[in-house]
Amino acid sequence: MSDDVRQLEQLRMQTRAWLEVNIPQDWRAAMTDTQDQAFLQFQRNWMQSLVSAGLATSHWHVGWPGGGRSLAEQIVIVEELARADAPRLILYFISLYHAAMTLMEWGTPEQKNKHLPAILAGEVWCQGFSEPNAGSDLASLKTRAVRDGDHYIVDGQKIWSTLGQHADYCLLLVRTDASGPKQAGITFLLMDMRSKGVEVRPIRQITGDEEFAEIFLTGVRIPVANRLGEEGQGWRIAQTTLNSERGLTILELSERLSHSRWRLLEALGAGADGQLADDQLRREAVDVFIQIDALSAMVKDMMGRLVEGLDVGGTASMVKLFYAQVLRSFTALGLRSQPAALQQQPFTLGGGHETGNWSFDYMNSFMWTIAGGSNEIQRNIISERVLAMPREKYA
Amino acid sequence: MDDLIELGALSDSARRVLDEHQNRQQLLKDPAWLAQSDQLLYRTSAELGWLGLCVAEKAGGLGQPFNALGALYVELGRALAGPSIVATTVGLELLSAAYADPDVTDLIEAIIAGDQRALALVGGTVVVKAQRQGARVVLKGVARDILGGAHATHLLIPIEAPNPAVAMVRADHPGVVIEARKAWDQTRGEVFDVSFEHLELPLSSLVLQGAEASQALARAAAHFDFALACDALGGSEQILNETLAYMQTRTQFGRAIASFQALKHRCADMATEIEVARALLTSACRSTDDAHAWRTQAAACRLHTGAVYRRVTEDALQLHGGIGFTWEQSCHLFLKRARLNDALGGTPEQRKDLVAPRILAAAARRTAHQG
Repeated sequence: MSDDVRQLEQLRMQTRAWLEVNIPQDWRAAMTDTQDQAFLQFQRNWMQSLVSAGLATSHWHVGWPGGGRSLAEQIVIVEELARADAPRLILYFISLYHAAMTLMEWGTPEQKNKHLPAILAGEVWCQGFSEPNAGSDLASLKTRAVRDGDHYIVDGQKIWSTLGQHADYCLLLVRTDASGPKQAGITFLLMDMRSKGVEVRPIRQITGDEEFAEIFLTGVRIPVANRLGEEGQGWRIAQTTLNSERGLTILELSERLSHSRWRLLEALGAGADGQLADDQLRREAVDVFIQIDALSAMVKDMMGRLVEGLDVGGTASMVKLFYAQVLRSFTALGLRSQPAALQQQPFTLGGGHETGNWSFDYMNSFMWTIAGGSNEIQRNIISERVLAMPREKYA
Repeated sequence: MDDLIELGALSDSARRVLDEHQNRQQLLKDPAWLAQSDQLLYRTSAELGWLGLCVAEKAGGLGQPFNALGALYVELGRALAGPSIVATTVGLELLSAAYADPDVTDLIEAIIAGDQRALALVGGTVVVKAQRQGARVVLKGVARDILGGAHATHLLIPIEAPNPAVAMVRADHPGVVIEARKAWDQTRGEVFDVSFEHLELPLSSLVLQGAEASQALARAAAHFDFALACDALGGSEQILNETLAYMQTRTQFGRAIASFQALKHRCADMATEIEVARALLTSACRSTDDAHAWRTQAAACRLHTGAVYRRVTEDALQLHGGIGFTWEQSCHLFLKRARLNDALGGTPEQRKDLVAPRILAAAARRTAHQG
C-alpha cells in the first residue's frame, strides 16, 4: 500500500472512530417535532464539536484550522460523515463553504481576518443571490446599489436565501451598473443582516418547514469596505461561490441515499427475509436500488477525476440531474407504499432527504429538481456543452 | 497484474477494424451479407488475438481482466457486429475453467486460433435433465434463443444443481438437433434452438463438475449478461451520435431541429442515461468479487443498460421523424437489436425477479448508527 493510500485509510479510521463516540445519541428523535430554538442550539453544538475535531473545515485553505486537506482527504471525511448518519450542518453550510471559499479567494486580508475566525466561532451566513424575477436568469438581477461616499445604498429584494432568517451576514449580489451588459454591472457585497432596512421573511415550503427566506432591502447602507473585489466583478466572484464545494455535496447526498436503502425496504414492508410479495413494488425497488448503485459509481468516477485534477465538463450537470431523478423515484416509491404517510406526521429538522417521513421526503425532493440549477437548466447545459447543440437565444 | 492492455488503445484499434468490416447499406439490403461478414470479422478477431483476451494464461490466453473484453464488446455493439465473437468468448469463459484436462487445453488453443468453436448453451432459455446411469450420463434438453450457433463445432451443456456439471459434445453428435430461426434483428440474423432427446455420454464428457461447474456456470452467465450490457452501451452511444448528427443537418421552420429546446432536452436525457450506464458498467466490469456476487452485478447491469438501450433507440427513431420509420435508415437496426437483447433468456421482469433477493439483501444492510 502506498503512503498516500495508507494515510487516507488512517484518516478514515480516525474519523470513523471519532464519529462513533461523538455523534449525539438519538439525534433524529431529538430533531423531530422540535422548535427552532432547539434546532439552532443543536446545530451550534454540533458545529463546534466538528470544528474542534478539525472535521468542519477540511476544504479550507492551508493555514486555517482544519484546512489544507487534499480533495482525497475531504472525500474520505464526507464519506464517513454519511456512513455514520451524522447530522447535516445545514445552518452553517453557506458560511463554511460559500462564504469561506469566496472570502479566501477574493477577500482582502482585513476581510478575511474579520470574518473567517467569526465563521469558525459560529457566525451564520446566507446567500443573497436569487430574486423573484431572477432565478434561472440570475444575471438579470435588479437589486440596486448606489454609491454614496464610502457606502453603498441598497434597495431591492432577495429570495430563496437558505436559513436567511437565522443569518448574521449575507453574500449579496447587487447591480451597480444598469447601462451595459447584464453580468458586467454586478457587484459583490458582504452585508450585515442586522443593518437598518433589512427585513427577513421566512418562506413556508410545501413540507411545512421554513428553510428559506425572502430578504427585503430598503435603503440599506453597506460600507464600501464590505465590497469583495471591484465594482463589476461580482458575476465572476459569484462563480467561485457557486463552485465552492467541488462535488462534495453531491457525494455526501449520494452516499446518504446509498446508506438509506434499508428505509425504503422497511416502508415497502419487506418480510423478515427481505422479500417483498408485491411484484410491482419489488421490481420498482430493484430498479431504484440499481440506480442508486449507478449514481454512486458515477459520483465516485467524477470525484476521482477531480482528485486527479482533470476537467469534468458537463458531468456535474448530469450527476445533479440524475441524483434529483433518483431521489424523486426513491421517495415516491416510499410514499406510494405507505398510505399512512399521507397523514400529517412530525418531521425532522436538518434530517436530510431520507428521514423515513415519506410524505415529507417526497415533497422535499422538489428542492433538488428545482434549486441549484433546475433540471431544465441542467438539460440546457448538457445539450449545449456536452452535445454541442445550438445554444438558446437569449434576450 | 503485468502487461495490462491499455483499454483506450484496444477500443480505438477495435473501432478501426470494425469500421472496415461494417457496411450498413449491405446490411440493410442483403440478408446474406451478414453471414459472410460475420465470418470475415471472426477470422480477423482470431488473427488479432481477441478471442483469447480473457482466457487465463495457464489455459493459453492473454490473461487480461474482464474489462478488456468489455471494452471490445462496447465496440462490437457500436458497430452492430454479428454474434460469433461473443458466442465464442462466452464459450471460452466456461471451457477455460476445465483447462486442467489436456484435451480441453488443446481445444481451447484451437478455438483461440479460430479453427474450432464451442458454443455454450447459456443466455437463452435452457432446460436440461441429466441422469447418471452407471458409467454414463444421459441428457435430455432444450436450449432456445441461443445466439451465434452457426459454425459451432462443440456444444457446452449446463447441468444445474443438485449435481452441477458441464457436458461437452461435438455439435454433430447423433441426437443433437440445431435449428435456426430468422430474427427481426438482422444484425444477429438468426437465433438457434438446440435440442437433444436422449444423449448418452461417457462420464468423461463432463468437463466440469460440482462446485467448479457451479462457479464456472455463474461466471459464464455473468459474462453473457455483461456482454449484452456492453453491447447496449455501445449501441446506445452510436445511435445517439447518429441522431445528433441528423438533427444538426435537418432544418424545419428555418432552423436545424437540434435548436429546438424540447428536442435538446430529450437528447440531454439520453446522454445522461448513457453516462450513468457507463459508470455502472465500468465499475462492475472491474469488480473482482466472487462468481456469484459478480453474477448479480452482471444481471443488474444488463437490466439497467438494456432499459437505457430500449429508451434511447425509441427516442432516436422518433427524433429522426419520418425517415426514422424507413427501412433504409439505420434506426430500426438498433431498435430491433435492443429488443432482442432484452428477450434472451427471459423477460426483463423474470430476470429482475431472479436477481431481486440479492439486491434487496444488499439494500437491507445498515451501518451501526442507523435505525
